[in-house]
Amino acid sequence: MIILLVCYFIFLAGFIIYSIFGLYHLWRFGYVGDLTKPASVIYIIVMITIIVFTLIAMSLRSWPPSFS
Amino acid sequence: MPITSKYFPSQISGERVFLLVRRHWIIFVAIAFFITVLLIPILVLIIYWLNSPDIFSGTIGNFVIVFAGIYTLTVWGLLLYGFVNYYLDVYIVTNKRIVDIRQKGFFRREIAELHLHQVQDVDARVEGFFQTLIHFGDIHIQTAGERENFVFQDVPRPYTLAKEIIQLHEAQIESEYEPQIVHHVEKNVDDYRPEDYVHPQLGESVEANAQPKVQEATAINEANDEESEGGIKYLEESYNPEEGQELLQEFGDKDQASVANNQPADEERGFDALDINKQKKSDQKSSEMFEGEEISLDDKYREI
Repeated sequence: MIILLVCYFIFLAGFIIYSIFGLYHLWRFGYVGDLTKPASVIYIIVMITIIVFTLIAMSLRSWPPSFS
Repeated sequence: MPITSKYFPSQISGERVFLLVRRHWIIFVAIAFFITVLLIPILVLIIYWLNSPDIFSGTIGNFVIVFAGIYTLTVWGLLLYGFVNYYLDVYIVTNKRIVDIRQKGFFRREIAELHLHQVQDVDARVEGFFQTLIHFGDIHIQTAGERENFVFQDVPRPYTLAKEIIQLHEAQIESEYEPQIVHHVEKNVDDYRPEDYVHPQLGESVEANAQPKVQEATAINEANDEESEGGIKYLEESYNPEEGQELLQEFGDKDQASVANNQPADEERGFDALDINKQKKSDQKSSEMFEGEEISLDDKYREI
């Protein structure tokens, strides 16, 4: 079962890189007084919330090293 | 209402943004709706889990948690992608040009520019039920030459925007063909006519603005006159007729010698020796400098 956790963390690393690219675009090409900054903040908050909830749910369960 | 502060990254100094248009918000709502629909399975899963938590115990529960975490983050990431695509597509109309910025994904960004004077025709198109109902459509800007036409896609109030673009284009053309007053610093005061500065719309305020310029020219002319009088007086005092005769005699001898030696005329060499040619060149240069100092009415308008 531990392989599921490995898969999740590999996905998480890729997702964070992807998010950095997206947020960079919003930061780089946003204009004065537009919605890019609020949108970036909302995106980061929701993303962290999803990740934290998932990690909490994972930590509450047992992850045996093999499928059984 | 123009925006005077710097509003977009490639904005030139002094360039004022008159229109900043994105696609209609309904386009993003449509994108967001389709992406949000993808979250329905997660909602169903959560409701199911709250009602009977035992179902997800054991190995299946582990699968569900990992899958749900990955799925939710993927949908959230797609929403970011949709937002970047929607929000960074911008059409900007300034007092000088039209800028079309298109963001296609994270790694493709196209920026096209069109100067306002290159605009030939602008037409707005509203096609279909939803576009008519929600008041959005396309604006096609025909350009001079072989350039591709500019298309503002799915913009709100296309008819109004098209009209505003045409007005800005006309204003640009008018400002290009406005008469420009070119003058020398030494220009006679009488040649300044206040009506030259009267703008058809702004009227007297520009005329009043011209008054200090006339006073300045008067002061310069008076100073020049005093300087000239002083110079003549000095020449009159320092002129010695005997020295003049000697000089003339000397140049006469040199002229004869130059003809014999096939050299340039003594007048030329003589003038050069006396730095008169240099003086002439210097005068010409300064005159050109003054001619280069143009005062355009356009600048006056901006100051007001």
